[in-house]
Amino acid sequence: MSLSIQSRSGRELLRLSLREPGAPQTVDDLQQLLWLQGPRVKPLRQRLTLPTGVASAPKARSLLEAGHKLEEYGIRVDAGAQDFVVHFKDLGPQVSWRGVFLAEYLGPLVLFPIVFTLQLGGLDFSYAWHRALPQQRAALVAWTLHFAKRELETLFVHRFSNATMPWRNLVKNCAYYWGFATYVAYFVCHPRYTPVASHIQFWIGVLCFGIGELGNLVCHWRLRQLRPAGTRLRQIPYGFLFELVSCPNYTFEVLAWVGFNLMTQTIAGILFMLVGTLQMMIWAQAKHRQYLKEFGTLYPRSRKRMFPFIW
Amino acid sequence: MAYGKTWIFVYNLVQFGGWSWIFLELCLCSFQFLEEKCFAGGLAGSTEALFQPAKLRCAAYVLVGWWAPPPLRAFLGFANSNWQRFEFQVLRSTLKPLLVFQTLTLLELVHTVLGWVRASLATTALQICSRLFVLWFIVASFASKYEECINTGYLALLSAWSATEVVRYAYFTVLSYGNMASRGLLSVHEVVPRWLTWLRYSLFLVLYPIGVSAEIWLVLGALPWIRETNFLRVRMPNTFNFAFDFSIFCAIALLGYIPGLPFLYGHMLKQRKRHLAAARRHATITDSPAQTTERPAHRAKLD
Repeated sequence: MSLSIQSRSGRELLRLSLREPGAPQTVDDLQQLLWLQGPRVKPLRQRLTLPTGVASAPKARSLLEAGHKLEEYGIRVDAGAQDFVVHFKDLGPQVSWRGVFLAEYLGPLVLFPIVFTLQLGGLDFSYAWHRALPQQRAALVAWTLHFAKRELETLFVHRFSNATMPWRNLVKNCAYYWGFATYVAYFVCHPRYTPVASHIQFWIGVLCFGIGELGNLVCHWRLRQLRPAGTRLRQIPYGFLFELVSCPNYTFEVLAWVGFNLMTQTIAGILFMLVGTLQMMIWAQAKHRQYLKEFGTLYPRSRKRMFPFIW
Repeated sequence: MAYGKTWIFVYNLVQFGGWSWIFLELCLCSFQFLEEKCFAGGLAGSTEALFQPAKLRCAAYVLVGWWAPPPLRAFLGFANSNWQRFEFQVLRSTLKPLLVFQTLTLLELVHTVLGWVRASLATTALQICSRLFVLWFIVASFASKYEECINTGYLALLSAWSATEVVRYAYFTVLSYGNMASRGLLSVHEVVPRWLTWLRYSLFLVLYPIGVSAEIWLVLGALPWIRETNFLRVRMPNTFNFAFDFSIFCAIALLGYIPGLPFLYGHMLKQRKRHLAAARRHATITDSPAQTTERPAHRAKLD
């Protein structure tokens, strides 16, 4: 009785006996063995799956997750004289979520003031500030506050599980945020920028932006309270706008961007908002599904995903 | 789903007809040109002497005229007025059907979204959008400036695209017919003859680089005219604080070809390898008499 670790193409990378004293009991053991004796790939980079069509696994998914016992996937000593196969894939270099967040938000935080300066004052920030319209100054402050808040939240509020992502995501996310930051800033800080015609619209925008930012912060704070430090616990959030939607943090985020666009009125900003909203809708859908799957009937049925009473 | 299968068959058949029309139009125009200019009207009556070296040389000349990149074409003497008139004639008789049938390919995105066709949405969208971009915003928009910029690549574009699409839609027509008639029970290699599979996954080796280089020449050739005519240009100030410069957009699109081209070509090479290997496997299994009753265990996906 043995456990064979194979690449997707069927090449054997490691063969382990399950009867011997040092046999792996958990997925983590197996990952350690692969790291030490097998293909020398760190556990975070490993993706282990059962071959498709194996009925012995009681779990529906065939992905072997860290923190679980091998038994849970049907790999047990008493299962006859059977040999087991686990497929291995190297996910490539990994980066932590926190690192990706910090890098992707740093771009907009720095780029917007740089573009502001270059567009309006050459290399002189104070001259640019002096020359800028009040609406442009407000936009600079709002944008910078927004991304400074995100950086601080990443450092002090969010509790990440230990998960990592492939480094390519770092490139992709940074390209998205840095690119859009430059694109939006180019038009908002343009010397021939036309400010919004009505003061009422501008101030409604400021109000929406403020409410959005504060509401978003409250949501993040509440989510933090749900997960005690150092755990991977998941609970149903209650109270505040959580009573109406699964992801109120996204609701407030969208509200903040609606406010920003009311204040500044640029096509580029609206585009950024629409793409961001689409992405948040995808995440909200996934999160909502996950809640329903994990908590089943315990989860309040009337809750929408992201937009109260609508979706 | 039955409606879906029927619809896919009808769609492929229509596209096959359309692209055949375009390709035949190009061939007929070329034939006419050859007859008038190279054989002085003596070709149609003398088919028995069709393969004379001189005539083959003339045919090769036309083929070079289709595919050679602009600098080479100028060097080879394709700048004469006869050739220019021929090219304009081709443009006049093919541009409209080309626009219609290429624009119809947008439906393929709908098919992919609906799940009627198994394909990667991103790759399909990239291919279709880049073609429509060149066709509508360069060729159709600057057709009146034919001699200044469109002649740099229109023939190469037309011949490469139409030849590829005739074979591709022939393949899909046969495939979707088999799929429809057998209610999805037959595998792709049981439906499509091997030579057609081979053509569908081999022609691109030559035609794809020709088509893409033609696209690039067309965009490059149109750039000065885009700037001069302020084509699709929006300037600040305006209430929506928006500006757009189509020439910069084109420059970015051209830069996009640098990673895009190897990616798509590699993607198609991979597909070629997979499909031809599967076709070969299928052929050896069905050819060996001992196993004729057995169907291959893992049927290739109908895609």
